[in-house]
Amino acid sequence: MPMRRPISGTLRHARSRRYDPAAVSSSSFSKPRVTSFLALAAGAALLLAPASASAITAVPRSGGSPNANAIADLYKIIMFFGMIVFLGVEVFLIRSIIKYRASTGAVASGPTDNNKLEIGWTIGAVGLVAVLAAVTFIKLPDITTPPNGQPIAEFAQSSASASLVSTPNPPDGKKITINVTGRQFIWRYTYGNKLDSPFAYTQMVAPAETVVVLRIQATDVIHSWWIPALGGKFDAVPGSTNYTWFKAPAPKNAAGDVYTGQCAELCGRQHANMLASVRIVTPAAFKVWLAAQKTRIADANQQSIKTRQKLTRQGQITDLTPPS
Amino acid sequence: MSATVEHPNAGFPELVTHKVAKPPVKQRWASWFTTTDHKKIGIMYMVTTFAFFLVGGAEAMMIRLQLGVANNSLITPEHYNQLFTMHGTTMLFLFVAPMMAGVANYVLPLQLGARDMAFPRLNALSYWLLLAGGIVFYTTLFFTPPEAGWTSYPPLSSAVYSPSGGQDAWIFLIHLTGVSSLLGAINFVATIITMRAPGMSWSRIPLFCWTILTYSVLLIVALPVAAGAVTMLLFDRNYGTAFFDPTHGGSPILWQHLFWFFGHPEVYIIVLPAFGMVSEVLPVFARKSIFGYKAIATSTLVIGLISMLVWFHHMYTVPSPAIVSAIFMVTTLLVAIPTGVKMFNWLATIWKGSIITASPFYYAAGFLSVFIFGGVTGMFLAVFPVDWQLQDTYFVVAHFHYTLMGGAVFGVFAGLHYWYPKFTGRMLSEKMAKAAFWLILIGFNVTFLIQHSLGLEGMPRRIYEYGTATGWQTENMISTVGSFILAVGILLATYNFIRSASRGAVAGPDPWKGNTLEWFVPSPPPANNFDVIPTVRSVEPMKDIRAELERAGAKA
Repeated sequence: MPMRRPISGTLRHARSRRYDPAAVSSSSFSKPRVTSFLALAAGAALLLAPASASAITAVPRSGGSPNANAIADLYKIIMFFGMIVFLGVEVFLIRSIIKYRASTGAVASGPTDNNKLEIGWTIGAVGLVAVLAAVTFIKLPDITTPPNGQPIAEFAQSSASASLVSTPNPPDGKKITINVTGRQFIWRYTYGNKLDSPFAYTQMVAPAETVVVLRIQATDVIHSWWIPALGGKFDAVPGSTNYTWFKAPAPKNAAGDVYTGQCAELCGRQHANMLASVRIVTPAAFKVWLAAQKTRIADANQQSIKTRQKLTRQGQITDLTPPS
Repeated sequence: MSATVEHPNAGFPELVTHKVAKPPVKQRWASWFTTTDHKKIGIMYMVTTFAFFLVGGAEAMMIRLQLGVANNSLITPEHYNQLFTMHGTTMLFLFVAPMMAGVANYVLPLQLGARDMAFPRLNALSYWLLLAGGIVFYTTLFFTPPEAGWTSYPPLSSAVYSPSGGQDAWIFLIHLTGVSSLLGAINFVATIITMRAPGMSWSRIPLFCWTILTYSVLLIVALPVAAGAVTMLLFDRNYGTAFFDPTHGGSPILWQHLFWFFGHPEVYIIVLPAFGMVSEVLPVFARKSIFGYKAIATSTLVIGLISMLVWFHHMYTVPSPAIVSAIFMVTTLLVAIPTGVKMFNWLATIWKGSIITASPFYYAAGFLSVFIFGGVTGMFLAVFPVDWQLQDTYFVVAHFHYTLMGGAVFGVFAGLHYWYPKFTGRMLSEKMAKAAFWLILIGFNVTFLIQHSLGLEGMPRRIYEYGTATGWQTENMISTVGSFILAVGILLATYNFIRSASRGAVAGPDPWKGNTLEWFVPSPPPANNFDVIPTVRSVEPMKDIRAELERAGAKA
């Protein structure tokens, strides 16, 4: 007959051990250990802070367009108030924990109610909220309304389709509109609303110092257009039209400045590779590019017609030409 | 006071309220399937949801492993999308929200001085529906898990773009856990209204119970909308309707409105009970009454109300008139007022206290230090033009982990460490609890702080890879390393929970000198909770009872 193992001695010891409430406040939470922990944490923070400060980004990208710049400014204002609140709370919290520990002999003596304080900090919070809202409304026109840009011939009738979003318009009305269409997993840019309007994929070419309005749509699932340095993101929703704009500074490189971004709304398995970029060139170079793109598309169409006719003659594909 | 009283040591009187010996009934395993005892159901809730927490955490670790280096090919795009969908859904619907229900199940009737929930059998049904939801959802591991994210935006979640049954399983998960939560919420409301101890007027209800009341009302308001929305999606997918199909006149944006009308209150459903736990822990360990009881209770209700008026801030980037965004910006910023009031009251509670630095206090203080950061980043996101840069990036990922992990999980851990002696009758190892706390705090901040920068640099969420030209490698590596520190901390805390259940020191009824009635009864409490329900004379009935005992001891 197998022997049953008795309950081990340690376990029995543990079971008979009674919890001593007095121990909680004294021996096992001695002051040096807590202080050393805090010192260690503070030391680590001090060591990490300079190293990380150079590596981290604390404000949104800007520099490509006035709306991106205004958003970054607004962000900095919120950050100013946010840091005051954050640091104030942390300092008060850590100081209280260090100062009022029972192990240092602190006796509970603070108030447990104070209507003046309650009203005071409620008003403080209301004030902060009011300031943030006011600052936002002051900054808003810079973000939503483009400034005047270089006069350039409009080639897309943007008001053709109804939208919930009003079309961005500079005071003088001089702008160009580029249609941005998202689909799994590529962006298409169409320069005009005609069937033979020139278009490009993945990289958009746009003129500098010109108000460029983007008319954003999608053909399958929801995508989101986002080039951080050119302003915020706007969802491309099938069945709806969204608008944004940018006005980029003159390019520093001869080949144009490239601003990159990518789709920001989950759109399927290759969402990560739905990249986008905008190449900003001088308005003159843009005109040249647009004409060349038109020719390239016409040439490619001619080429494919020829290939198709050849394959039809050879009997490799069905003849689709209507009977004459 | 008719409770039997004895005091084995003169310095610290102890209550023995339950002289009746336990009947020698064998604890048969079948009793776990048939029980309607709120404490057993609470334990089952907590164990089940904690298991889902570990599963969801494992999914997060795989996500971090994949993103650790650029152009990683460890996980396929398909599996990656499934992983973050499972992670988000698990954490929100199978861990945090029902974990709150679990803790409340155990603690709420005890705090109110009730012998069980108002509807014990309905309570059991709530648990089994939750488990059914979890099983239905996780069965998809053997087929094709959903991959449209926990928000399941159509058209991506429609039958055309997500043909697999995994998406339907997600819908049934929402239905099953939804009905579970709805029944639970009705039960909590009924219990709080009708089953309070004599003398417990509305102004003497423990703050945790106030948060559970608000949690329940929010669930009752928001869940039917979610149920309607997922039913519409189910019909779009399987029965040819076109609520969300733009090619047949439907609107994908309608889904977002319905989903976030539920989804934003859901965030407060998750975080309010954590606020409640912190409001219970801080005064006990600061040895000082809560500062501004009425302000904290009121701010809970106000947060609950405002939380139903802010859903559009998840949708600032959809095509919409600017005035809508402006209105929702203001309502969203308003949340900062009651939340700030809470924060200041908590700080005032520990100010000039006599702080016992035990593990529940560590987690509660950790909650304050981390949650404030999530609150501040929330102000950036509320301002809609700024949100245009931050929406759907790692900044948002970092923000909601600061509020949901830093807020809800630190709060839950404070609560679990606080009530563990009540649940099990034994103390946790303080050494292990504190080591775990530091690992979790450091790991958490290393993982998520740097993600704000990634978002500002243009890294969208839900991408399975990034190129070397992006310059995101170092930050992602730091985040991945942090997630491992965090995981070690969570595992250590888990080991402590398991080990201490059999090997911890015996706790006694009131190891922390608590303020509320759950500390009046033995640990763990007997099946009927209270032989005699004490009369409540203040917000802190246990303080009154202890004072009474000391007077009695002095006389004797």
